Amino acid sequence: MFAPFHEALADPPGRLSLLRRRSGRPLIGVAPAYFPPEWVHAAGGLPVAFWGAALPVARADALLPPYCCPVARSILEMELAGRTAELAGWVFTSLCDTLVNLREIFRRLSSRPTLVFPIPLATDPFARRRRLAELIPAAFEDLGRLTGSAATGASLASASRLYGEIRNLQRRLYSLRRSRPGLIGVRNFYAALRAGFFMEPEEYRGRLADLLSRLEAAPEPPAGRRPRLFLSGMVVPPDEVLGLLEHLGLDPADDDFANGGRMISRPVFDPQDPAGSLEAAIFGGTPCCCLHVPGTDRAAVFPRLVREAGAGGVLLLPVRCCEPDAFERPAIGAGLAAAGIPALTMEMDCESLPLESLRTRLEAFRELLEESGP
Amino acid sequence: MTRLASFARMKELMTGYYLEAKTTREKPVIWLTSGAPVEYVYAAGALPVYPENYAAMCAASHQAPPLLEAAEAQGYSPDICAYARTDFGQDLLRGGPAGGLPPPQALVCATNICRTVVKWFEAVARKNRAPLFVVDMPFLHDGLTREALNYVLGQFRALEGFLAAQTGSAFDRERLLATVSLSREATGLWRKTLDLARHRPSPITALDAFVHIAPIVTLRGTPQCRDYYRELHREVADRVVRGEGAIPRERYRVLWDNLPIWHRMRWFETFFAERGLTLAAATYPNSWAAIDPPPGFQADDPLEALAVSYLNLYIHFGFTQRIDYLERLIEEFALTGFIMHSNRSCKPYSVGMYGLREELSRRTGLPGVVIEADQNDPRQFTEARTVTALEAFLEAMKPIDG
Repeated sequence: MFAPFHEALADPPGRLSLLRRRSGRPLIGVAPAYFPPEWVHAAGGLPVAFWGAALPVARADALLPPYCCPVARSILEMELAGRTAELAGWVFTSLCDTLVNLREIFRRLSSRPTLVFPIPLATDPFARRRRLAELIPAAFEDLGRLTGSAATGASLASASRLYGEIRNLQRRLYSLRRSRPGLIGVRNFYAALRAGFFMEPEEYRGRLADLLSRLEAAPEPPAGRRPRLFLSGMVVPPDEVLGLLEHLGLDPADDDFANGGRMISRPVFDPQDPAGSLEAAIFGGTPCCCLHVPGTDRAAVFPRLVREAGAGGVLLLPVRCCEPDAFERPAIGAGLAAAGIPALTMEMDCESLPLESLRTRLEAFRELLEESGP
Repeated sequence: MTRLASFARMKELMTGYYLEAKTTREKPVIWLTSGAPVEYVYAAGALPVYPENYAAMCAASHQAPPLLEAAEAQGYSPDICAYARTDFGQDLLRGGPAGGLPPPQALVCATNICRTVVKWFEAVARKNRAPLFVVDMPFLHDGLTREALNYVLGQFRALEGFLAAQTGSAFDRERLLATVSLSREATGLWRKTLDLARHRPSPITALDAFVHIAPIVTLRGTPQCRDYYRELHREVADRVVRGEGAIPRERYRVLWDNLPIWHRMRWFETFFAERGLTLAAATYPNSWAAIDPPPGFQADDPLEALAVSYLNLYIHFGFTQRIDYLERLIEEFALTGFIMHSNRSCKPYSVGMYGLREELSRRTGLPGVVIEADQNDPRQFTEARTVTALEAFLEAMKPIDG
């Protein structure tokens, strides 16, 4: 059932080559985060989202210091190693200081065009809204330069519909995981989610719809007490870590990964209300550590998210050297402690994962959750 | 540092400033980032407090380590900016030269120096239940644009309302214009002072500039600040007239890129002076020295000019503009090489620096070196490694008239 999703993630360079041949569209690499993929599709391109990879970094060391996050370092490593050679261009947002400068590094590496979408952080809501309204036409103009063709009203409406349907299917997948514990394996779940970054959207929609029909019709999984977790972090952790959770019988009920729960909680772009819907697509939904949303305190919201998910504990999986996330961690930890929710923090360094030590800590955490009971 | 007599005056000025900050009952205390438009805060009758400046003071006086450790014990990762960790630590321990900072009634931060300050100030706002106003300044990937400028100006107008709500009185535009005028005078004098380093021997080094930066960061917009830089400029200009250099025998004239390593100022002073190396130019002090705006942005309107000066910062530039600027400094200050500080605490300055070093060397034919350290965290500094890197750099560098 899940094989096509795993297949899509298995060999990124091979996949890119296949996608380019099959789709006939220029492939556009999308760096984290919140750039609407439907815009790329509407402009005739095929968005391929990169969220970092678990690989040894060698070439990127010459350009990025070790105190940069492994997401940025691994994306640059892939670029320098020629693993992204099939891309016609790159899209960046101003999500954090590292990504702002990473775009500048990419610009100097090759003549391939890059686009940057500066996410406004103004407290003043009018300034923010006006700025977004200004940025939209500029972004489409730049996208046209990347893809070689311009988006039209019709192509944008169609792409927004397509990606809106995908978003709804992904929400169904999340809902199913929450309501039927044990039905979907941890690795399978995230493969089904992340494969969308490396598939043609039409194919992905079809496969996801088919998967959901089969899962919804599947018999109930065997009953048994498995500790339910809320996973939190900037990006879905590497497959090895997901495998560990599965192996140890730890069952994620929900997450707030920027390429997971945060993404699916946001609406897609609506061409009928460009600035308003873009604002919702970036700032709405589950709070993100990289954004400033006046009146929203992620640390205060967090315990509610955990309770709503029905999770008995939280696994915080911050990416090493991710400053925005690190700034919020003490407040989130304090909020969880005050709410009596057990939490375990395990820093994720995709360049070197100490799996045995992670396993020991997870086992101890599982015991703690089992003792505290539902 | 080289002993400028103005140092005593600056110390007096800064002591008075911190004393007022700690004791004021009348003025609301507003915390600011170093790149935020302080002129608005002074015009509103509030008192600006700069945790960055205080963090630097803590490090320069070797009082940062216990503060860093206190913050880390609270769960703040050593991966986050050491200024922020020092600040969290001073709050926990009431530490540092002034025995801690007064808590903010409100906070204003601007993204022209980094986006990290937003997270830092959010944490402080949360702790103190104080309102936070973020002035978003778009990064200039391809230079200044009219749209970016208008966006910032719109936020400046909204800031007036925010500050009026904090002070309880209407925002006074006339007072703002007077403050902006004082600020421009001070930044002009600061720039003229830094430009005196074009003379050979240089009468001032970047290490002096790092020390004498405090008033331009904290007090710009006040008459005391302008008067102080008049005095400093006069003193440095007198050195030029006398042909007096900042160090005894100037053999090398070098650029410093990035923030200083505050906890090692004296060490660098000695190391450089012994080898005849003057840091004649630096990018960091120029952040408050009004870099010339691009054509089409020399505004007559003082508030527009103010917005341009806050947007037009070196670390807010795309790399093409950065490297052009570095090349220009090297030429104008007749430099013989450059040192880049890969600063763990400052990603906007440091990410991409390795490539810039190579490109700048290629363009200028001059040697450059990257040293790995941290502006505030002494645990990130390895003396032996730094000496080795700097000695190799000195060997590769051709001395003046050599």
